[in-house]
Amino acid sequence: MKSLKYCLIIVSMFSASICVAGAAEPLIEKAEVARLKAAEVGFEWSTTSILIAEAKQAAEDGNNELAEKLANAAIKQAENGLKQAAFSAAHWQDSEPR
Amino acid sequence: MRKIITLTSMLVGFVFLTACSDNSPPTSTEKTRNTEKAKPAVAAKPVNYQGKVDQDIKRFRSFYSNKFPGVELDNFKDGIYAIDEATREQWLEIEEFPPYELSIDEGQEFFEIAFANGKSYADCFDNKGQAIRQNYPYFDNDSNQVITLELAINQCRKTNGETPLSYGQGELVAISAYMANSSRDQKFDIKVPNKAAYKAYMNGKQFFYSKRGQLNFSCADCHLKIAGSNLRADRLSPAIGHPTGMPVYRSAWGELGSIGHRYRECNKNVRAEPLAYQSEAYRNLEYYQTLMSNGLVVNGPSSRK
Ligand code: HEC
Repeated sequence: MKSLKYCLIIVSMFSASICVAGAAEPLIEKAEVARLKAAEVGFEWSTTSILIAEAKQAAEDGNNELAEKLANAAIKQAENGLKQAAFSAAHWQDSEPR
Repeated sequence: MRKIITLTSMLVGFVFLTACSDNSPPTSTEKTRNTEKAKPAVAAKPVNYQGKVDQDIKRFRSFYSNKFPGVELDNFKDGIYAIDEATREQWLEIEEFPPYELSIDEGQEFFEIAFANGKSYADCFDNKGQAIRQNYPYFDNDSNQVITLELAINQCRKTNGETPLSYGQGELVAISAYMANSSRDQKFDIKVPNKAAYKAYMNGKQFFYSKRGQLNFSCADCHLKIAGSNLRADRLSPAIGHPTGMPVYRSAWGELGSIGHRYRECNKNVRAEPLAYQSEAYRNLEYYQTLMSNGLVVNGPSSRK
């Protein structure tokens, strides 16, 4: 009975850790999609893919909190790249010599 | 501090964009205009695209002439050494026995080797490939795109059943260095013949003035607005004359590199993901940059710190 209890505890811990490791995955995927969107318009930042790679590594290492933080940072960068594209499209002519 | 400025400028841009996007369904009006146009009307006056570009060239030049009043226009072909008295003498000495000399010889050898089908590069180009650098890049009406010299070299290979060479550095760049060398002192005379060419030109121009990367810098920020200032260990060259000395041997590279190689490096320096060599955007950018240098002479290959 006791060993069954231990067994259950171990199994639940294990599945929890899988769960935790998997929790960042959707966010990392979202970051990848966002990065590609910025790349499509030619405004990807070179730092974004590094953040995503680091997020993947953190997830693999079971550090879910860090993985999410990094993925969120990558998403933010990709979004900023898109904003930059929009800003540039609207304002590039402002710095032309007159 | 820079971060704050960057973020606010982005925010402002974003607000602008969302505000603008409300009144932007031009498709329907355009559609009606198009159907109205269906009747044979009096031929519209042809737009003088070259004239528009010439206006831009004039403004671009006078910007640099005003910024660097001591520098003769023709000398902008020398890149940073046009404006940097301190290093100009030393550079002129290096150019007497230049580090790229061997590459020119190599390029000539590559250029002269016959393809498997018996043809060679000379068969692909006007004037057997001699003294033609100044005509590149040009807008090709058939394929509707900008053709750079490096793209043309690889197209020549493909036409003759050879595998393309890699861009940026190496054999292909040696060949382009040899071709540039045979074109020394020829004046760049790039044309914008039609609407499609003008579109490519405008696309390259927009690239030049668009802020990029985490550091939020445009080419124009460094090479126009603050050209001549110091950035870390470098002094920033004026953009006028950028293509004339290409390809360049840079000590930092230890070999020759194409203008595309430099574009990638400048993109990376502001933490923007560089584009592929000879991507449409880079070719359009080179088209724009070379047009801005029309009238200057070819002095490539060249050496740089
Ligand atoms: C953060 C500043 C910065 C930005 C932004 C930047 N560059 Fe540069 N660029 C440099 C520096 C520094 C050098 C090396 C010194 C020099 O020649 O100006 C250089 C060199 C070059 C050269 C080689 C000039 C020569 O004579 O060898 C070219 C061409 C060039 N840049 C084009 C561009 C283009 C096009 C862009 C935009 C995509 C760009 N640069 C954006 C800093 C910048």
